[in-house]
Amino acid sequence: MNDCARFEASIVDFLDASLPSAEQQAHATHLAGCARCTATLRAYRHIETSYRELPELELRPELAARILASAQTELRPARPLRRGLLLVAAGLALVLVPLAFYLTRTRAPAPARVHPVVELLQSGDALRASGRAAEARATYERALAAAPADLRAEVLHRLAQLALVGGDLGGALTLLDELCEQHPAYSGRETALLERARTLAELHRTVEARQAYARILAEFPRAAAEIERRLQRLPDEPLEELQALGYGGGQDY
Amino acid sequence: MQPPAEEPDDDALMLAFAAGDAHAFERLFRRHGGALLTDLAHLTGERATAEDLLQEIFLRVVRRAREYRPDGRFRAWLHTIAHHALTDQRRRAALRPTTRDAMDFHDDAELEPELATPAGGDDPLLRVHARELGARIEAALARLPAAQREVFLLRERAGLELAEIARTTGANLATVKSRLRYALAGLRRILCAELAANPELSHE
Repeated sequence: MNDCARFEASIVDFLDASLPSAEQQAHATHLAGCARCTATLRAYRHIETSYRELPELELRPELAARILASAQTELRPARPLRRGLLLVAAGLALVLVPLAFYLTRTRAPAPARVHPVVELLQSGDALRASGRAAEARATYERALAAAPADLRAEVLHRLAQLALVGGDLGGALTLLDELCEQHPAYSGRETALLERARTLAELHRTVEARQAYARILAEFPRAAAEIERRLQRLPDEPLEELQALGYGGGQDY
Repeated sequence: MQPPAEEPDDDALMLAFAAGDAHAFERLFRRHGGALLTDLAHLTGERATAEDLLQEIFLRVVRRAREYRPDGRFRAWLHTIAHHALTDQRRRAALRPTTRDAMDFHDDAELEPELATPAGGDDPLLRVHARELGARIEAALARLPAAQREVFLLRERAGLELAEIARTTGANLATVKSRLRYALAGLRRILCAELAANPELSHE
């Protein structure tokens, strides 16, 4: 193997400067007297730097919405909904089975129906998963208007997550406030509380974010390590925010 | 893309996400989605395929979030998931034998680079503006074997070390180095041929 072939064989290591210094130096000496290998090295470096400078593609908003919606569906699989569905189905079964038994003696059985709010939730989920956020929101809002107490939390959480994905932090906070205050038994409560605290932090409402994290810690001690990390990243409380909340000049609270 | 100093790093976001914070996932997605989409578009040569893959990859991130170990290597972890999603996609594409990637992805019988380039130091590539050359490289990548293309992308765009690329792609380090060398030589050869056909691209 001549010097050119040796250099060619180790050119990736040479570009990385990862060769032992004696070998790196031997190649450098070779390069000083070899126009062909020097041209190869310069061409490769030019290829690498030119390519690295290419700009990133933009994420189309519809694509981002589609991916975030499907990820959230994945993150919170239909477990709570399924549980809700089971309750609804069990309730319906209690009524429908004897009814069907009775009706089969007189006429064709009536088909069992899922609760209309659950149907709306499922439609909204499908719209959200396919990136049709505005239609999903409209569907969830219809569900919210008709939701009984046990399903209202499900709807609120979906609307809040849609608002978060859409960047509407204020809207999301209003929904999360209701969800966290009015529905203490909601199965997705820990997630909702974390989202609320995070939203407050995003809105620079640092004092309230701290209080929200403290509340999560009290309810869900297992989240302690994560909350500690988040608290460390929060900025110091702005004085005006403390005063607005009725805490004089940053005293203990 | 590196987070600004006041932003939580990838590990913190992954931990938050694994604890159930969907917002953390969105931040990770917005931080890395564009770069990964670009890589996938260059790898597959098709934006629509790249977008479908991006969705598949981030869904896998969701499913595997609890497996992530916060060791500062989120990008390498993400690209490992991307590599597997891409491999699966190519296996599916293998059912369509006209797809060239399906044929060449696992083909390690890569040709030795032919140095059909100028013998002197006067390489015409060096006279092409970086922006123009970058766009031509993007197009030329489609003509490389997929395994070479992937190694080139992981190094030049994702910024992974060669050893990380080896772990990510499941190849040994020597193979990764060979693939990168062949990719560079192949690109040079393709670009030089284009310049010979279009000499007006060179700026004196």
